[in-house]
Amino acid sequence: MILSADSLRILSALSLRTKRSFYGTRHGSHRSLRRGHGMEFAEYRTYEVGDNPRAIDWNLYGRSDKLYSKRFLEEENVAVYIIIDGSRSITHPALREKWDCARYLALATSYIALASHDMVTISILGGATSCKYSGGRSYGHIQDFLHTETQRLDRNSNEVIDLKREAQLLASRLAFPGICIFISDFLYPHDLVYEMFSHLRARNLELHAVQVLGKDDVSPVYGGDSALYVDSETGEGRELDVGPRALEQYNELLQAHNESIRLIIGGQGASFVQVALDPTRSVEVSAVTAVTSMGIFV
Amino acid sequence: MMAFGGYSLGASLPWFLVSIPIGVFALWYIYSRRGRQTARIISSLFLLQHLPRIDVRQKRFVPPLRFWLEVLLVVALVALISNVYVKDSRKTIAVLIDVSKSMSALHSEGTSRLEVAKRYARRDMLNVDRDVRYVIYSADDSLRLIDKEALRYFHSQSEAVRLVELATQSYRQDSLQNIVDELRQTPEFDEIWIYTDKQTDSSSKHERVRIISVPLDRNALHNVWIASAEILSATTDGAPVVQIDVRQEGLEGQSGSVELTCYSSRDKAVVATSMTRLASLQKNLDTIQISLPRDQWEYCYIEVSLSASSVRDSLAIDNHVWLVNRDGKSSVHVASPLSVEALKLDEISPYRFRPLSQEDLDRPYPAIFHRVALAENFNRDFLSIIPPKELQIGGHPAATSKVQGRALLTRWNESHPVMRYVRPSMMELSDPYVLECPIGSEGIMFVEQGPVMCVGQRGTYRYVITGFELFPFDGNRNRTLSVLTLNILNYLFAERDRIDGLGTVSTPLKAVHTDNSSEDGRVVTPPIVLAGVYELASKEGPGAPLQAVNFISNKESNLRAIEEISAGSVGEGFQRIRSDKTDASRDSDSTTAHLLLLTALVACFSDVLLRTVKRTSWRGR
Repeated sequence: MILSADSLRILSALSLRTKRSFYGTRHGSHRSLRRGHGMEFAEYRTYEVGDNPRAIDWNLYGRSDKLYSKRFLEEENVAVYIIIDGSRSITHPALREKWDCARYLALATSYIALASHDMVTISILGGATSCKYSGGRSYGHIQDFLHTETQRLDRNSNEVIDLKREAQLLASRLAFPGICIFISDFLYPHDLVYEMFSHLRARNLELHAVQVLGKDDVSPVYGGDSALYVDSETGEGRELDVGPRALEQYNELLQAHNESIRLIIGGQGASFVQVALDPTRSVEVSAVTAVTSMGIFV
Repeated sequence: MMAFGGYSLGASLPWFLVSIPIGVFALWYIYSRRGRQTARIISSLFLLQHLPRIDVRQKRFVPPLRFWLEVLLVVALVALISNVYVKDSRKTIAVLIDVSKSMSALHSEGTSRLEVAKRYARRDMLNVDRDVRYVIYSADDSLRLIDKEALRYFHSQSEAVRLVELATQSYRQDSLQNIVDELRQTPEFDEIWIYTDKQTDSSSKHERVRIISVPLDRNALHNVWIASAEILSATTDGAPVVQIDVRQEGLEGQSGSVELTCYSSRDKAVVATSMTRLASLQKNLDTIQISLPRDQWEYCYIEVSLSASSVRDSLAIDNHVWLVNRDGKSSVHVASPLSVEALKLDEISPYRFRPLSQEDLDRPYPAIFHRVALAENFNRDFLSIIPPKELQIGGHPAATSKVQGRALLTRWNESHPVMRYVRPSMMELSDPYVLECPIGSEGIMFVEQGPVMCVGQRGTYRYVITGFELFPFDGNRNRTLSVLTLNILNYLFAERDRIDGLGTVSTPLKAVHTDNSSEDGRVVTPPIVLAGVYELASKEGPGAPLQAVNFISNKESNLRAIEEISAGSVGEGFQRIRSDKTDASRDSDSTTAHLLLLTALVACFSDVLLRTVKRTSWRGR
């Protein structure tokens, strides 16, 4: 899976803008908390032994008869963490369009971040090791990684994932504060969402949530007949007659649930973007459109 | 087989109809279980489980429209495979009227045999049950429905009685035995009635075929007929000879006569007649040769009529034949101080040129007037070359003045047929005469002083007048003028007659036998219904310009010869087919099959349409 030329042209015009400043690991294009030798003046500091004499502001010394050192804002890269919900509700082969959308989202955000030399880390919640790809600087490597992960998820199709534990484990492994983009369908209880984001927020991350909803999530298949509906997560089956009236009730429930999720995530200081896959548009276009509406890529 | 209202319903494979309840039950089961066993993977039941739960097992099955469509499809397909048919169980009788030439012979009742046969057919039809269907045929050498325009194949009694009256006399020889054999193999007819002048073969008996022979009084049958007639090649003096073979039955020793009438090929008027008396008709064959005077009979459609004196001829239509005296060349008469050979007209192959004699002056033969002065009254096609001043055409002198020396052609009408392939550019004429074109004609070629060629038409006759010399015809030496000469000759003298212009010639016509076979060297003619004089043409081009088509048959004309026809034997034909157990399939009405197929197609199409519409409307929500 690769991004098309049209998508890349759109993404090339975007760059990552953080709301906060973070310490970086190397020179970059974002304003850092670190003071140093940047171009933009930050503050004066009383000269202390060991400071570079070239930083002394001699004009100020002439006026105040005191030695002050000039300090400048450092520009460094930021760490971008892309966390994909690897539960079966996204990775199940029957629901593969959601997984494809998540991959497109990861690829698109990685492409923008890598273009400004930021450090990209992709983690997929799922499996015993909570697979993580850290320190990626190559778009091609990220493509390979996501392809390999897709194959791995297909092999472990019956794996049951404890999202809460996975999120906690992942948060403990994050080395630097930075931007975290969490991609999931959020079709699980509110408490779980709250706890997952609490763990991530504790790592001093700037959080952004992207909800991916498939076509059948928005409108469960209705053929005028009853059918056995099987939960992709648990395998639990239930025979339901999803008629027009039931569909209306379902839509009301879904809207209420999404609103609650938005409030919970907003309460954690995170932004929330929803991607509802539309059969009239390709998955790639839907993903790229969602990236442009996230607010951090301008 | 079930019967209702004169119709019966049956099937070739009735046991296969069991498939209908099985198929319907299978459909019902599939529809009632549809969706229950199909697992549909969804992301999570987290939200769906909050919906009010419905126990689908307690839900009553209401068949949708598609179910009924598919039931219809199953029923139609099974019926189609079983070959369900609806048969009209009414009795079907084929009535065949022999209309061959011998049926026109006079019956002892004073009417023709055909009229007697029609009367018998009407009588028989009115004497049977009214609930019978009829198919009415006429036959000579082929079988035909009497009313080809009728929309229906089967007819009620009243319609059949009316249709029998429409049987018309044919001039052809019959081939009744083959037709009877063919009809006997047709299983849809319960009975076959044949009305003919043939006698029934006493040894044959068939349960379905009934032959009704028109009773004949053989002692009262007299007939004289022309067995053949043809124009032999010209004799040494150039006159053609008509040879006629005459046969007779019951008229031996009687006198007779042969009359030849020459109808003009141009105005269809009687040009000449010739009468030859036969003192005593011979039993077997009289061969008569009549030599025709050359000039009078040159352009004739010749009707040969044979008549016997004192005794009434039972069959009159075989006493006439038509002949055409044509050798493929049109004759053109030439009036000139020079001979035809000197003018080199004998080198022009499509025409035969001969000097115009004094006797032919008043006859409408096409002619060339070469430097001669003749009063012209436009009763022929003619070409006048350098007409003297005293020639008055339309009240005006045609040639007025002579141009001395050479005169350059200044303009001409390229679109006229006589100018086809003619390129007179920069051409000079030597000592031409300027013409005064008659009223109704137009100038085609001009020199500076005036027209030198006029072309006109008066009535059906064409004429061309030239003020310059066209002859002698010198072929390659002067190509432009040679082409012009041929164009003018073709424009004036090429054959333009068509047979449809033969309106004034009396019909019906009869004539020479054509077997439609070329084994004996005779001309093979296309299927012509009416005897007469025809122009025959083929894809390769025109063949013989005119052809007399006659339908002479010794078999039909010999009224005393005993002609027997066999109805077949019991157990033959249709009975044999029944024993093969394929009668049901033959009985099946193709309309039923078409109806079932149409029903199946409509049901299938509607089913697919419903599926598509439902899917589309759902996605569009």
